[in-house]
Amino acid sequence: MNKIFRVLSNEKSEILSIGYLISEDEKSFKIRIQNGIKTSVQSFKKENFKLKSIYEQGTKEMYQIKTKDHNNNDILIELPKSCFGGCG
Amino acid sequence: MSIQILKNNKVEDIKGIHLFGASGSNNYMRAALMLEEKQLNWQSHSVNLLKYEQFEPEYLAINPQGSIPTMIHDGIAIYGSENILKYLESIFPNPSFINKEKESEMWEWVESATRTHIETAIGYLYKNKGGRPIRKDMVDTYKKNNPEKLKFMMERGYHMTIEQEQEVENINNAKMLMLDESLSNQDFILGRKISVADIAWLPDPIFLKTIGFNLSPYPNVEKWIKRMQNRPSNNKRTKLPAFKLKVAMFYLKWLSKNKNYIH
Repeated sequence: MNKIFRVLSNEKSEILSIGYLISEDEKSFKIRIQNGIKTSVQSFKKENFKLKSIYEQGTKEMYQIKTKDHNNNDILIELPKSCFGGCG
Repeated sequence: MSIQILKNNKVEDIKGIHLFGASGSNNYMRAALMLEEKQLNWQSHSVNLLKYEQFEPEYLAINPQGSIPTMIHDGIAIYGSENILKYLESIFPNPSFINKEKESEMWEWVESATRTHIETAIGYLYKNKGGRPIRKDMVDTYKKNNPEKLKFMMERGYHMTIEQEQEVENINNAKMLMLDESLSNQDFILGRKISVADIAWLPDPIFLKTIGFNLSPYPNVEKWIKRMQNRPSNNKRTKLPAFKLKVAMFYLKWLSKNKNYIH
């Protein structure tokens, strides 16, 4: 699936565009840029530009819950320690 | 009901399913929707964010971020809507909302709803001057428990630049376009059947529309919302209280001008 990124300049880390990643190779990436409700496709060279995800990063730590499912079978559930999808 | 149950009982002694949150929250709605889709018996407990009940020690013990929703199931506390969806799908697999052929993609879709909350819904809420300002004496608490929200408030909050406001518009339009395109040839995000992805995403466009976002450029999204709302899970327990939310936005805008609040 597509993910939304900010496109930043390598030099000044200025935010240049918002859009979702269409494709990427060693030297460049192609972004579908969002401008209001309009979109356009643009390629960026990696030597000049970088991508930054809009996702909350949290930590990579996970924790496990040992419990039983509805049939009383033992079950192990692994979940992120960071809280995602919370209003505070 | 309120968080009093946490003050009167040990978490491990609380049996059944208890969901803590606030009905105006899209994250709370996501968890409530899953519980209704699973046709489970559950109790709702209101957490008053304006009174900072989310930072009461008893609540922090079940959600260290101090955010809503949190769920207790038979003495086990699960925090954050993403974890609640994963937990419920594991413990109560019937009816299943897993798309077995596209399971990893399905969870990517879930994360693309839950992990973009600040940049999308929160961004739009504050851009439209309707988010909760933070009382100055609570800054250290946010720094300790919910630094991402505090960072948003300090860098953007009620004082976004025109460029930042445009960025919020663009991010939300990109998100809705992504959803609209996924629905162009099918009834649900991953095909002909509803999955956890649909349950995770539904609250976001509903919330955005309620706070002023224009969904009309995304006709597939609008049709999908109607399709989802025709399900029995769309009931008074999962409905976003639109009028209450709009009134709250006016109040919060007024509150943001108070000298005791950062905005």
